[in-house]
Amino acid sequence: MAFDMSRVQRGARNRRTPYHEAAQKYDPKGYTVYNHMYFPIRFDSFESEFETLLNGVTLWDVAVERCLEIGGPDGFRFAQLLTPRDLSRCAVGQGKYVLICDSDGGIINDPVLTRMDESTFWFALASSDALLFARGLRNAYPDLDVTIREADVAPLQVQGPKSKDLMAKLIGPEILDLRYYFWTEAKIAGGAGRDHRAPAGPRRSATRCTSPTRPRASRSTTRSWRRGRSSRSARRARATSGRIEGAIFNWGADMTYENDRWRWDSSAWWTGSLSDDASISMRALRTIKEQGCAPQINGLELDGQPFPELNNLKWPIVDGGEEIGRVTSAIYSPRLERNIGFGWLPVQRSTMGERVTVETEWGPRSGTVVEMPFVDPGKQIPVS
Amino acid sequence: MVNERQEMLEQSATIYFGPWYRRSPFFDATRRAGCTAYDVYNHMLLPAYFDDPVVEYWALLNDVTVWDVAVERTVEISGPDADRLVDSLTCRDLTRCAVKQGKYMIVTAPDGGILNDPVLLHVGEDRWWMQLADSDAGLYALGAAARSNLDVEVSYPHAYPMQVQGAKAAKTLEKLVGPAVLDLKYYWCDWFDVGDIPVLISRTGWTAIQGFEINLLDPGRGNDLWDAVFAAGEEFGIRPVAPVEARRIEAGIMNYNSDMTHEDTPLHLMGLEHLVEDQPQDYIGKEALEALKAEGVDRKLVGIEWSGDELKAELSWFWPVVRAGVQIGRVTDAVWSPKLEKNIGYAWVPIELAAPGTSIDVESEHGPITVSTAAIPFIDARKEVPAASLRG
Repeated sequence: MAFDMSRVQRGARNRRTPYHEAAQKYDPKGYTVYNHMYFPIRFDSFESEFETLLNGVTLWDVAVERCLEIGGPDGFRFAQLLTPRDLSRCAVGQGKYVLICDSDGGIINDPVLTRMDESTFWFALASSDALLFARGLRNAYPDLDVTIREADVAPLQVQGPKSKDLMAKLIGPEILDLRYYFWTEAKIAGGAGRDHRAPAGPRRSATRCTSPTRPRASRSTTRSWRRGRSSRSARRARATSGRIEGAIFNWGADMTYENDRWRWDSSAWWTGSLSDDASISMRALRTIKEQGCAPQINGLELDGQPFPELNNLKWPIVDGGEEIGRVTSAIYSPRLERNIGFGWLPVQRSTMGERVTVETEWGPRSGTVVEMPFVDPGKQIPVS
Repeated sequence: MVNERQEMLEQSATIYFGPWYRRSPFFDATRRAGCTAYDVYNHMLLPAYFDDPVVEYWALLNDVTVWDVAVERTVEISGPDADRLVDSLTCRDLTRCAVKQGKYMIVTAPDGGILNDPVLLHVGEDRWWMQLADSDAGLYALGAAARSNLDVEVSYPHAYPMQVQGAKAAKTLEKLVGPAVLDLKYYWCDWFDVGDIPVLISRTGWTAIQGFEINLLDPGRGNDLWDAVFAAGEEFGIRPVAPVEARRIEAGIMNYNSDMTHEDTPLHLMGLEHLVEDQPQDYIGKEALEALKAEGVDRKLVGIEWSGDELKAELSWFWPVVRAGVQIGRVTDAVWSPKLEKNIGYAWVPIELAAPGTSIDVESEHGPITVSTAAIPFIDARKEVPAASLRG
């Protein structure tokens, strides 16, 4: 049964993804709004979707990850201005998780970046209009020959242990050679021009894959949905406990522009090799690294009964009646059989084993600071 | 595992109140007041349904209404070079905007495209507030400020507007903050106190009816302000409402992301052309807009109207405008106007069909119809209703 869009939609202000009609066939139970687009959020129970993600294969319409394309002869220089990650270490064909940061180090967005050619980069955006930031910044660099636009790309996520089998069936066995955080171009038979809802712009009749765990189709095809169903894919919406277990942060909840500054204490994020001119945030981040910054995000385990759902509000972390931090995401993990989440705490309280008290929506709970990610810290599972 | 989960999921099925969305300081009050649907706007939940839109329309025209528009995210630009930065972001000439005056602002892209259409308030010397439509134009300002050598700060202050609009809005406000509010001119603002709650009140809105926006400055006082406004308005029949689409279309007010996007310039929209103001100073997009002005546009957003069956609900998706079976444009919104007693809306058409009174064919979600193009706005082109003296 198709979802009645009039339950959430008022007027035509928010956009629909190219997979909107396809997803409607699978009875979505609700939508949210992400990057000004309707985003299916649930097709089945959380447990069922989570179980399928862990043991089967799932398909998720993430066309809402709108694609900011930076290109042109000076595309590399301009893309590097946006992020403190060293893009010279990202080969053509490779991808990186990056942060787009302002000149004070504030986080504008946390996209997956893919390098499409020497000077063209795609940023698959979280829910903020980072394109506008780029267009504003462009003003300070009138001499750079750069194009900034939203490319006509609509990713789909095929995830789970059987995603390999699905993709091999769909594209051919060569897809299994694709390394983690790399992409390749492929054709899906019958995919070209099938999407009649495509907005204006260049068309690509191909599927782009950044990795076996993050394949992305650039054009919607009803075929890819059919293949998914034949291998009993759950039409997955949002297996949030998987996201939190893997310490994947959600921009807007776990980090925001206004009040959070990232902790740059790991070379995994930032090598420190860039000059102050190469990236606009570099000077501020160096200062934060030297001086330390007040709040830090931590993994938390929370005691007591399983939480019935994901937190609806940000929960105060209290000490003697005073708020010392906030829990930004928290959920019960069926795999770990405990409540887990992320909490911002002062640096002196951000040590493993630290005990804290959290005022949750379901009453006060005690908790412990633990290591992140909660499972598979070496990312052995997605890399294999 | 937890027995009540299934039931809870069913109840929360249509929209996810996740913590990645911000909540208005009036969110709890709107729940109490019976809001049953929310939209998402500037990463915040926007009340979208309380009661029959026609009932709310007449309440606006005859009485007084309250609409939580805290979603109009406020971006503050301040500092010694604030005037220069703000003026560079828009085709409007801000040298003609005094302190405590406001302007309907178009944030322009380098190609002249519209990135946002906020209400801009000059709240103090070297201090401006952009109260945004649904796009992160604050990020645009941040980007434009970065490495610009301008001494400015771009921030997100605590300023959360609610609209109090309607024929009896001035009476309500007079009771709430005293008669000084009646001296406030159209599109001007000033600082007031509601009891012990400091607020900034502007004479702006989304209705083109007499009305105000009250900006709450302390997000912890949302319930208190809401209750104070309702207490003041009780004798005038005050009620909470969702956006009154029929009225805003009658008045020629545009909705960003449906009627216009970054692909359109003010020169493309009937009624907004004059916002591209001749000025000696430079701004982002000036070159592109001046070239387009000389050259002329090849398409236009115009009004449409037709009689016949009353539309039961606002359009939910774009309707194609067709000629000989080929799509040549689209209807961006359409609704029944209770006052004009016809269906009205907006449509993008090729320039040769833009003159008022031209027949065009539309594939509506209810079947094919023929409509007539019309001038925008449908009523009160000189804004005499909202701009009238409040002491008259």
